[in-house]
Amino acid sequence: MRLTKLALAALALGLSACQTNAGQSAADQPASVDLSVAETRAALSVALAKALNRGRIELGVTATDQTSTVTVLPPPLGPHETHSTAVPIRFDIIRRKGKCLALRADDGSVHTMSGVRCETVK
Amino acid sequence: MFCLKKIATLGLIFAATALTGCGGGGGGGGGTTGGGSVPQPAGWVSGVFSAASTFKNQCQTVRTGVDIEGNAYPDRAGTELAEKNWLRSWTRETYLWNTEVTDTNPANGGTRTEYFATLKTLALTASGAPKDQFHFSEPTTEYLARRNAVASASYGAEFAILSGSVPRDVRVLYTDPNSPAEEMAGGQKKLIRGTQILRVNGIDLVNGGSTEAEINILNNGLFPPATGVTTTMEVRDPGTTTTRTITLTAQNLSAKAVNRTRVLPDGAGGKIGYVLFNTFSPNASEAELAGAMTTMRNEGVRDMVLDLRYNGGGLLAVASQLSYMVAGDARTTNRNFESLRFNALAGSRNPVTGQANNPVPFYTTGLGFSLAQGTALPTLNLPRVFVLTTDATCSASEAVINGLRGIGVEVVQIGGRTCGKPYGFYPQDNCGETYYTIQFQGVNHAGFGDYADGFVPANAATSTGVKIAGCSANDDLTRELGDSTEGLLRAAIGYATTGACPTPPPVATSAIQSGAFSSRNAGGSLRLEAPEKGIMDTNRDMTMR
Repeated sequence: MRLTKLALAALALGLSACQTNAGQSAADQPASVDLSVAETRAALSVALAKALNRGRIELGVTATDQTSTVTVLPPPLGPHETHSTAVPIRFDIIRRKGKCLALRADDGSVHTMSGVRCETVK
Repeated sequence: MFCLKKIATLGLIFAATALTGCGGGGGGGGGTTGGGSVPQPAGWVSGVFSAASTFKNQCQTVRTGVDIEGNAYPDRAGTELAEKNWLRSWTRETYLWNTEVTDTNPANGGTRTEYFATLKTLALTASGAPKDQFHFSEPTTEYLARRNAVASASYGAEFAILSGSVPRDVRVLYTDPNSPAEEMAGGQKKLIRGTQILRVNGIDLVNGGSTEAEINILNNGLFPPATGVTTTMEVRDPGTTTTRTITLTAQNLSAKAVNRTRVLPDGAGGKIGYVLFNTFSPNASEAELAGAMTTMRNEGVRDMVLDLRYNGGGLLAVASQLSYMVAGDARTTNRNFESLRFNALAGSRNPVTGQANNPVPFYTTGLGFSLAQGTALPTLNLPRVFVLTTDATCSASEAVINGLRGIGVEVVQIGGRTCGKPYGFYPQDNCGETYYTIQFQGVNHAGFGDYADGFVPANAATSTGVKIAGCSANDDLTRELGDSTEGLLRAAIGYATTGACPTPPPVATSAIQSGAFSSRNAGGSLRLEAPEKGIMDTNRDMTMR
């Protein structure tokens, strides 16, 4: 019985660790984050690193600090990587049921962003 | 009870799968997928392959903790045989020429890297060169350290070893703007293109260096190991007989992608643009190129010269952006910059990422490397472009030539044969070693990508390589880059005006012609090894005897 509980807990953990219900829903609202706020930038970096299963990430350049789209830079190239397909990964910021989420553009996955403040874009 | 255990086991497996599948792989690349796998055999059976994932991260020596990028090591206890089995299956699944690899028993002895060395094609190109010249590995610690060394100690000067044997000949290829090399001394820049290095910290570089200690002094002087290192050099500028003594202090410098731009008269009342673009690798290359092309657009240039003679490649996406900025919307709409051709086993998927194998488009906006995602790129809308080349023009640089030719833009090549690397790979760590094996060939919109012997100008005296319009010419170290009298640029301007190559062709000094950036000269007893700069450097014997 304990093994079953453990398994169910692990299953739940596996589903919620990095990804919420995949895909965008009609109830989602576009949102934005303020990257000029150090705490927001730091929390966003942690959340997106988790989403990408990396130890840490670096955010790409945005047109403005208040932004509804952020990019994550690929790891830097090594000197032998002369024909690299690497591109930044784009995330759109959305609100769903009051929570701030990041919608990954290339695969539609949606990720929680613990500690990240966002505002609905009006 | 059995049922509960089974559910529990499934749950744990599922959870583990979900946790590890949270996103794209960082670091040295993700896992592999591939068709045609069968359950692991009890032993080696020729032509029968288990899935590479069966053997992944089963290490003879297990790493613990996290790497310098903060990623936890995925290692589990295993054996060297498991590591070699992974190499064998991974090669089968992802190597471009997987059917040309002789399948040998990994249990037959040898180290993992010795075994990896056998997992490649032995075929030759039309010129007789090995078809696969890009098969190697390195310790993952070194790979990670180098790719995270954004800036390094440097004077901001790139040196070429034209003669490795006594009398040695080391010259300056170019200097980076606002670097120590461009500081003023005695009314001129400390180093200029073509400057010959004669002595380093009192050691005669040309004829001296008779002990290991002296070679170390030369090395540490030319390639400073740390910032703050101060070096005294006796130098001689091109076209002079007098010498100068300069002192340089190394700074922490990043590679500058766009070194300089020029707008020059084309001799027919118009303007010709010039961009010295030395690397596609740093994220900054995106914004620097967009800035350079904005300048060219605002100046209304009628022709464009891309100086890629020392550009070994890097980000394909930036190569696509550059091509788009040259060609413009009309020539690129609904066309692809480059498609990736994997082995037949991969089908329609990328066997490394497991994702659909979508072509690289002509990117029309910033992607977020250093220019905000969605920012419109400037365009020149040119029907032709001049590209200056040497054998250091490689990979993503060649993709620009090929990608533009694929959509009908006339590419005029001025200079020497390019390196011939239409291939790419995803470096992959396993158990502390990062492996490079060619996994795809890039082909343009017209489906062409067979330039393993490089691109060569039409009038070159050779029967190999892909001949395209242009003029064969030697690199010219006697003039600054961007100077309209410098050999390659002069030939490009002449061709733009007259449609013909200069007669006689541009000629450099005899030392430069014979050296041609190769440091393979034999003789002598000592070696001076230069730090690695890029794939063309590392594919050469960068030693000076």
